[in-house]
Order: sequence, then structure tokens, then C-alpha cells
Amino acid sequence: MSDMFFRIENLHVGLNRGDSVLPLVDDVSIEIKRGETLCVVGESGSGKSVTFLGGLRLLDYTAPIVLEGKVLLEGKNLLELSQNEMAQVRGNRVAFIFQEAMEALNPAYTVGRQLVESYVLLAQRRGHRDKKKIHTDGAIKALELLQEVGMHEPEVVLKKFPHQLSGGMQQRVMIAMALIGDPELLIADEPTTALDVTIQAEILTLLRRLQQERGMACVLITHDMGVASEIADRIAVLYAGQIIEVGPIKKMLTSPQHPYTKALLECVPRPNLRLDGRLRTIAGNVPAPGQVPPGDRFAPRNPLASEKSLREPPPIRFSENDQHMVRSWDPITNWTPELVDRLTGWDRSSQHRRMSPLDEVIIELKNVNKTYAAREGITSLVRRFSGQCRAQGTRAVKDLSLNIYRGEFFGIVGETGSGKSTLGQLIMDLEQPDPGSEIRVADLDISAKRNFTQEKKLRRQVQMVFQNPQDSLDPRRTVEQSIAEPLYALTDLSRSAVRARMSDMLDAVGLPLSVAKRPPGELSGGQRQRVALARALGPKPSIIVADEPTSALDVSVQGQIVNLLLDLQAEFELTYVFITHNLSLITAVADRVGVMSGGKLVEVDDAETLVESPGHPYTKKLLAANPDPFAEMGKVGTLA
Amino acid sequence: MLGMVLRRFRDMVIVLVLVGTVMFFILQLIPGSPARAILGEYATESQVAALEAELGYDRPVHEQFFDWFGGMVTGDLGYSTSMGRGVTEAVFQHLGPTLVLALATTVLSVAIAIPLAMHTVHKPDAWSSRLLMGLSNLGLATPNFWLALVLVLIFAVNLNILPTSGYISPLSDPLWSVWYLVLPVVVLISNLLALLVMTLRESLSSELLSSYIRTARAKGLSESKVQYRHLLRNALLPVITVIGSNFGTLLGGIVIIEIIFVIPGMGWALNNGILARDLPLILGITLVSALIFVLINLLVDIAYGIIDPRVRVQ
Repeated sequence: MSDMFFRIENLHVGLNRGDSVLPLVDDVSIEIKRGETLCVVGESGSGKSVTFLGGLRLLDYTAPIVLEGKVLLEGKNLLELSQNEMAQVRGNRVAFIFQEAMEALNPAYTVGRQLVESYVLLAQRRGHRDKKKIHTDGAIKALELLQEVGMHEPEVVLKKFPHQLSGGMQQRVMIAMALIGDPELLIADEPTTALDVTIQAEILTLLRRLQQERGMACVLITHDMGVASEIADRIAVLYAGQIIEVGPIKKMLTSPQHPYTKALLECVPRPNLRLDGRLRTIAGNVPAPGQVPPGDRFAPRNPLASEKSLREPPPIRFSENDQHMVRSWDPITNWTPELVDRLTGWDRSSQHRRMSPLDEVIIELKNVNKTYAAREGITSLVRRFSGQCRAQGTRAVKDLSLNIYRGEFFGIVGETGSGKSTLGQLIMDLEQPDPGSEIRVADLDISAKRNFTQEKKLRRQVQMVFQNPQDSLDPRRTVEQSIAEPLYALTDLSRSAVRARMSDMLDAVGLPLSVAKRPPGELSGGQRQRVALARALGPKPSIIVADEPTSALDVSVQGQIVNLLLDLQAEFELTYVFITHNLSLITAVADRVGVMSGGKLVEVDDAETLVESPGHPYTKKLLAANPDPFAEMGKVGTLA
Repeated sequence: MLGMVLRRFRDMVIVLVLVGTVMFFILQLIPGSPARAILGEYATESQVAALEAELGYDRPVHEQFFDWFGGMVTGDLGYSTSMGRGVTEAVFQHLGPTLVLALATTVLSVAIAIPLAMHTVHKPDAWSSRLLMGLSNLGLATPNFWLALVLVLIFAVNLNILPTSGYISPLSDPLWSVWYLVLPVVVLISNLLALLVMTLRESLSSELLSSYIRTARAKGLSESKVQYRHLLRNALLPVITVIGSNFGTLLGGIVIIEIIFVIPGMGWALNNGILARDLPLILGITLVSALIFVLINLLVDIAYGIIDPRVRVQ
């Protein structure tokens, strides 16, 4: 037991609501050995961040949190410390890195200043008093650390502000900052979410290297089994505030015993594999805090659940060597393909429902360019009109030509800054292409000037679904108002016809009519994206441009939305332009995929061909960076 | 940064030309002859006409305009009949008290607003916070002139501890000047302070939820360092904007205050100018006020660039 230096015992985290306490984390116990990496996996709302950020007292400030149980760091219970004493633990023995480093770094200070601040603080705590020396030492240490986290020009980076760095570099700065106190435990909360796959791979490798070189323990909180499979020694799966399964990585990836663990794994689209038909999903949502089911908390979403597990809380079972724990009435030790299919709602016959693209071009792009102008001062305008120079700025899309056919599921994949979103907005006519570009969408020439009637006609044909339904739906409009708005604007339907269409659309996207009167804030992420889809479908368009529609969603919900897209495609004869950074996802479902890099379409091919024999080096690089939780798995449940 | 400043100076010139031109023609619409105002009710028509001719008011409007405009460009704003000297000179003589009032009000409001707003954010349920928010609403709703009269009545007339009116320059006698400044500044602060507390409270409470605040705590910083070093700096941005955009209102408020407390500032001079139909003086004061407003907002933009590196133009 001596190497168990960090231990959570029977931790309960609740939200004080005056007269009652809403339980968020329910009796979590877990230990972390020195120098190991524990990945904590679960859907959003499962309580994984709350457990660790709450346990280290970071949530005290933001919400009325009630903590019970013990969080022991070498025998000292952190829950009994004052915030002042906690401040000496944080940054010193336990350090943190957070997701979206852009937000997590102070925008007003240079990287150097933020790093030195941490150093100075620790030096003062350790009794150093010579202010000048501390600051110079801090600067030296900052340089060393930036080098250690793989920055090429640390001197330059020190003087930069966070917004001047790329996402990956920001996260490296975050990591360097966490390392300043030589922590024994690093808590990384979704450190690679919102990063491109290639950058994600780099950051994970870096974390792994640092953790091993420094013998540091690491808790990595993630929703992505793929990430966990790359870096973990052990994996803990959280669901609805409880740990439901913990074990060594190999066991957890190859023979998990809890259906939830298995389902999470199976929901990840197989990297570099083509899936015919629908994605595997977990039905339903994580229960809201305070509304957890009485028995096995996952049972209501588990098609394999027994009667007993629906009613009674399951026991905790340990393996003989205590290495593995599962909270279940009937752990499954032998996963057959049939079981997996039932668990993930996968139906072998569903593949026949896909429609095949017609031989009719519906989107035609020819030599399309898009330049975002740099700031236009008077002088540069004068020079342009006098023909001395071209528009300056960034060319987001370069000489792009592409045909998309009616009924096609066309995927555009690329990393940040590849121009993929700009391309989507050009198709949607939300951006103006440079002169000389030709864009035809549904027989409308959108590179030419149009009047209002033609504009309306275009909008009826092309609709868009955006990345984050939380931002793209007006929070002050009810679902009904959001769906009805484009119908009033684009069609001549009467009030009652709009109402009828609205309820048809809700039905089509699988939402009950009862959500119509509610604001989007009361819905879950997946439900909101369904509303966004219903709004897009309302005017009966023939094309839907979907820009990262699932990247803000959990992997289980992602599957639900993609399956819905496939169903709707057959039902409404839609053409999709699906823009994403997720190569596994797009190769699993799209008919054809275009790979974008630096504003250029570097490769367009059938999804199968792309996966089997990628032509462009960039495509190969993307394929290689894709994390693969199945690398060690058998063929159970696979379907190529 | 330098490019931004140069661009703003260019904009400033355009604004001043527009303000000057528009004001010139608006003032032509004021009924009553300046000459009549100087000579009084009992002067004959021919006396008035003669003075008008002497002052140049009988010439066509466009000629008067170009004359005035040409002067403005060279820094000569004409001759103030009511003050009996050049407008430029008169304006600069009366600039001091107005700037003292504006500066004292702004600096004190910011200095007081910061701790108050911090307090309401950290203890939102405390009775003191509720009282502060109530007072802020009251401060915004109370008209300056009314508050000024009430305060004069209480502190100067009844309690007799502060002067009813008057002004002493801080340069000539710093201590006594404070004595005279207390009431006018308190009245002016009541509005601005309330506005700033509310703005700052809003931005503090939204910044408090940002991720970098969590990072600062995760680094192990003490809460006061988190607050003053990381939170406040980012939360000050909207406050600076409010100060800039509210500066015009402040100048307007100062006009009233200067009249009530008989402070020989630009507002007081403006009031005299209007009563005397002293068109060049009115124009001059308007123009200088516009200049101050634009300069303050230039400062706001520069401060913005210093506080938030993201807005700096590369």
C-alpha cells in the first residue's frame, strides 16, 4: 500500500440547493499509484471532472459544493484543509491542465509572465526571498520547461501572448506551467479535446514521455476511449456519478465486463475501417443528477439488462488479484457479436436503407478561391483600384474544383485552418468567393449577383447545421419558434401548415412534440442538435451542409445523430456535405471523402479507397494519427 | 498600435470639421441678434445694425462660415464679444475648472467602484451588497441638479460646513480648493460611480467563471492574487469603454454643476455665451468639448490595447 500516495475514499460531491443537496458524485473510491497513468472515461455529465476538480477543491469557488468522504494525499485528507492550505498543495504537489488552453491561459499576460508567476510563487513558498534572483531563475526555468515540452523557439514563445500561439502550442504552455512545481500528480482534464488529431497525438506522446521521465502520476479525464487507449495504464469508467468499472488497460479494452464500458468502446467509429450501414450507439442519455435509476444506473439504456439490475443496486465485484472492479449484477465475460449488436442497437439489415447517389451534379465548384482580406486601409484600397496589387490577406480556399452528386453523403475532412469550414460557407452562400470562382448549387449560379427571390430559392435548397447547437440556437426562442422561423421566411405556408410541418419535423428527428414549447437550454446536447436538424429540414432542402455537427457531442450521441442523418437522407432524398476533423467517423459513413489541407483539396476518393490506399501523404499522416482503441482487440463485433 | 493612433488622429480631424460645420449652421437658427444682446433693449435699430456691420454679422452666411472656418484651421476661433477677448484665449482660461471636475470625478469613481464591485461579486447575498446595488440604482435615477440643490441645502445652508458655491484652483491653493470641490464632485460622482459599479459587477461576475481563473487557482495562487492580478485586469475592459462613451454625458452634467455652484469653467462660460448670443464663444466651447471627447476615447482605445493584447493591430 505504500505506493498508493493518492487515494479517494467514498467521495460524495453534492450541489447545495438550499433545502436539499443534489448528488453529483456518489461514493467514488479510487487510488492512484506513483508514476501511473489513470484514464477516467465517461460521457459528459457522468461526474468525471467533478470527482477530481471537486476533490481537489477547485469547485468550491464556483458553486455551493458539499464534499464528503476522504481525498488522501499521502495520508493527509485534503477535504479538511482550508483553501489557503490547499493553495500550497495545488501547483506544487498536484498540478492541473485543462481543455482549451486558449481559454485557460490569461489573455492579458505573456506566456513568460504566466510561467514566471508560477515559479515565483513556489520559490517564495519554499522560503526564497531574493526577488530579483527568483525572477531570473524563473525565466531560466520557464525556458527549460518550454524546451522540455517540445517548443522550438522558447525565447520567442516567452514573449508571446496566448492568442498568438496555435492550439497545440497553447496546450504545451499549459503543460509547462503545470510542471513548474515538479508535481507528483498531474490532473489533465480533457487536455486534447478541440485539438486536431495530429496535434492530439503529439500532446499525448508528450504527456506520456513527461510522465515516464519524471515518474509522475497522471490522471487523464477524457470522454474518448481512443485517447485512453493511447496513454492509460489503467482505465476507470464513470457513469452517473459512480465508478462502474476499473481495470488495467488491456483488460478494459479487450474484455470489459460492464456493458457500458463495452458500449463506449464499440461506439467509437472504427479508425480506418469502413462501416456499411449505421453507427453503433447507446440509446438515451446520461440521467440528470438527482434522477438516477434505482438499480444498475446504466440498466435503462442497456438492452441486455436483467429485471433485477433495473430494480436493485448492483454489487461491486473485485477480481481475484484486486486489479479489476466492476459494479454489476451480471458481468459479461464472453462478448459474442450478437450481444454486442443488441447492446449497441446495431441491426444487420439496416445497411440496405442507404440510398445510392444519382448521376446528377448538384454542387459544382470550379476554380473556387476565397481570400480573407487583411485590414483594408485607405492606402491599400487606392493601390488596389489603381491596379498596383491584388487583395492581400489569407487565401482560405485555393483553386478548388469539385462536383458533388445528388443523394451523395460527401465528407470533407481536414484540420484547423484547412479551409473546410470556409468551403461549407461558400456552398451556403454565407461567404463571397473571389472573382473568377464558379459555384453552382442546385442549378443556381451563386457566384453571380442575385435578387431577393433567387436568394430565397437558394436558401430553400441549401440549409446548414452548425457545430455547437448550444450557440447556433437562439436561447430565447422556444424549439417551436426556432423551427418555424425559416418556414415563415422561406415558404408561403399558412400558420397551421407551419405548425403541422414543425411537428412532422420533430417527429422525423425523433423528438417528442412536448419539447416544442421549451427553450433549447432545457434540452441535452444531442436533443439540441436534433432541433437544429429539424430547423434545417423544415424548408425541405435538397442539400444540407453540416459543419462538425457531432464534434461537441458524446461519442454515443454522435452515433445517434449520424444514424438519424442516414435515415433522413433516405426519407427526404438529401445530399449531405459533412464537414469534420474526425477521419474515422467520416470514412465510416460517407460515400466519398475530400481531404483538405491548406485551402486545397488534396485528395478526393471513395471512403473505402481512401482508407485502403490513401494517395496523398497528408491523408496517410491523418490516418496514422487516428487513435485506435481496437488495436489490441479481437474481431468480436467488428464489421469491415 | 502607432498605426491605430494615426488613424484615430485622422478620424479626429474629420469629426472636428463636421462638428464645427454643423454647429455653425445650427447656431444661425438661434433667433435674436448678438448686437441686440450687447446693446440692450433700448438701443435703436440703426445702432444695432451698425454694430452688426462692425461685427460682420450682416454679411452672407457662407462668407461668415468660410471666414470662421479659415480661422479655426489656423487656431483662431474668432472674438468673443461677451468675454471681450479672443475665443481661443477665453476657452483656455475656463478649461481648467472643467478638467479638474471631470478628472476628479472619473478617477474617484473608478477608485471607489473597484472595491465596491468586488465586494458585491464576492458576497452577493450580504446585506451590504444588496444595499450597494439599491444605492446604485438610486444613483442612476437621481437627477444631478436636484441632488446638487438638496446637498447645498443640507451641508451648506443648514449645517454650514461646506461652501454653497465658488471655486479655488487647486494650483493656487490645493487645500482650500478641495473644500470647494467636495459638493460638486460628490454630485457628479453619484451618477458615474453607480454606472461603473454596475458595469464592473457584471463583467467581474462573468469573468469569474472563465477558465483562466480556474487555472490561476490551480497554480496555487492565493485568492487575493487571483482576484486582483488575473480577474480585475480582464474585467476592467468594459469599464473603460463605459468611461469613454459616458464622457460626453459627464461634460453635459458638468455644465449644469458649474452653473449651480458658480464654477468658472467651460460650462459656465457656455451659459454666459448663450445668454449673450456670443456665437463664436459657443462654437469654440462646443469644438473644444468635442476635441476632449475624442481625445478621451483615443486614450480609451490605447488603454484597451495595453490591457488586452488581443485587440492590438499587428
